[in-house]
Amino acid sequence: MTATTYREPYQFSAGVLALLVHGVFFAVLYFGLSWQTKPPMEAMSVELWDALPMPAGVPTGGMSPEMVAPDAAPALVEPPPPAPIEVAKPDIVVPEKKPPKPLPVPQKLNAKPTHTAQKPVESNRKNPQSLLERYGIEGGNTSTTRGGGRVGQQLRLADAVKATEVDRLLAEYIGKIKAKIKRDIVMPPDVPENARVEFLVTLLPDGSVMTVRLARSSHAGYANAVERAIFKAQPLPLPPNNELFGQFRELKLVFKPIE
Amino acid sequence: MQVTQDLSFVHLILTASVLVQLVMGLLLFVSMMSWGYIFQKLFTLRRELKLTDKFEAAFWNSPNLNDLYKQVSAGQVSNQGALERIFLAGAVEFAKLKKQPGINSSALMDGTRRAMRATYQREMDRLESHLSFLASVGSVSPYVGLFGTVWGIMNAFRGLANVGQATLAHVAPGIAEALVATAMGLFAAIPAVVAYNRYAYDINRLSSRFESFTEEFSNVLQRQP
Repeated sequence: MTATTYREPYQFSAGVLALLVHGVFFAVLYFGLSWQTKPPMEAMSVELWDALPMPAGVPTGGMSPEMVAPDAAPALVEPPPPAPIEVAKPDIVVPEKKPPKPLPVPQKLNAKPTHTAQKPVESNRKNPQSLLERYGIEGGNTSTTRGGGRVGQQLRLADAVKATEVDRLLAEYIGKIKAKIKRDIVMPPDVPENARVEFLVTLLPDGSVMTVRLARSSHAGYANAVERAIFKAQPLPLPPNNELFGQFRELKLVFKPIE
Repeated sequence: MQVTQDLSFVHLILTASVLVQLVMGLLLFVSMMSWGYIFQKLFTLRRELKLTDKFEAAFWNSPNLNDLYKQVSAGQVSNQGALERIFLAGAVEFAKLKKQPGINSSALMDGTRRAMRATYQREMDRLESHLSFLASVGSVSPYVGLFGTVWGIMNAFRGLANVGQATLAHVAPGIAEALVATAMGLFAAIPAVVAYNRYAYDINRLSSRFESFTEEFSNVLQRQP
């Protein structure tokens, strides 16, 4: 056989197809992929809230009837199903049996908030106890309130937060907050004993400090020290129940060198 | 470099350093070649398979070997398959040796078989051409791409050494453009490896068919008066 020079067939079509493959591949890369060509969005901070906090000035007990109604209505509707269970546990049934009765209390409160505020506390001695329980505060004779049941809790929520109780908690926690901050104050020299600084502090629900604004100051060095201490002391102690946070969102804190 | 800059594919290639661009160019060329061979081999092997089927059917259905020989030798060489050429070589050699006076049967068959063997080798060589190129591309081009990437990343880090405050934004574009080289290496290598394995298997099967045909054809020739 003669050794003829062999020419590979299909050279042209293979070359064209190879070009086509690469063309398609690069087209896919070019048009199909759009990598980051825009600057990334600026970072933003978001506050997450369980519920809308009450404005600090308005006591929760003084809600308008319309606002109470949604809370009170379930209290009226819900009792029938648990009623047999209540019968089974006869010990505290009697005081809890009449759900509609406390409903007038908030209305009464609404009419004359300042005078009647004390009254429900006196008439229903159990409520402050349950309130303490609700806000996770230990102590007190909780066993007596154990039998309260769902009905009672609903009612207590409706007529609940007695102004005095809130005030007491507010005072307690403001005391705690101030104590924690005071521990972190590095006292500058030559601060006069009568120095007084007032800060408006905005808190986040986790106890961290969002803004600190100096409202009044009689000594700049002391004010600086306190401001540093406020930031250093975070997270600040807050009541475990978030419902009260509305009272703590804006705090006016007054500091004196000697208290 | 800023993170806000254009990170499109073309931009990455155009802004790469010279060596990385060279590597990418080489890989593109190699990829073109390998795809070219992939298509060429695909068509060649498919055609070879079809012609082999056709000729085997014709061979076993033909009542007379002489007719078949005339038919095959009359056809154009370029239209013949490898099996036809093996057959032709054996038949031609057999006819030549048969004319020699006083040749014994074993010498006749040996010569015929040698002729067929030689043609078989040549055909196999042709079928297997460029397969080694595909194998080389498959094994080497990832390393070439990796080399480009390593070089690009080295450059990116060297640039990082010159800035006071090092951030990810300083190195990220450099690393991205360096990684394009690896991507291209893999793009060249993967089809080459797949095609190599596929074609090696196809050629192996064709080769065993040619070998068994050679044996069978020898038997048929030996039975000739």
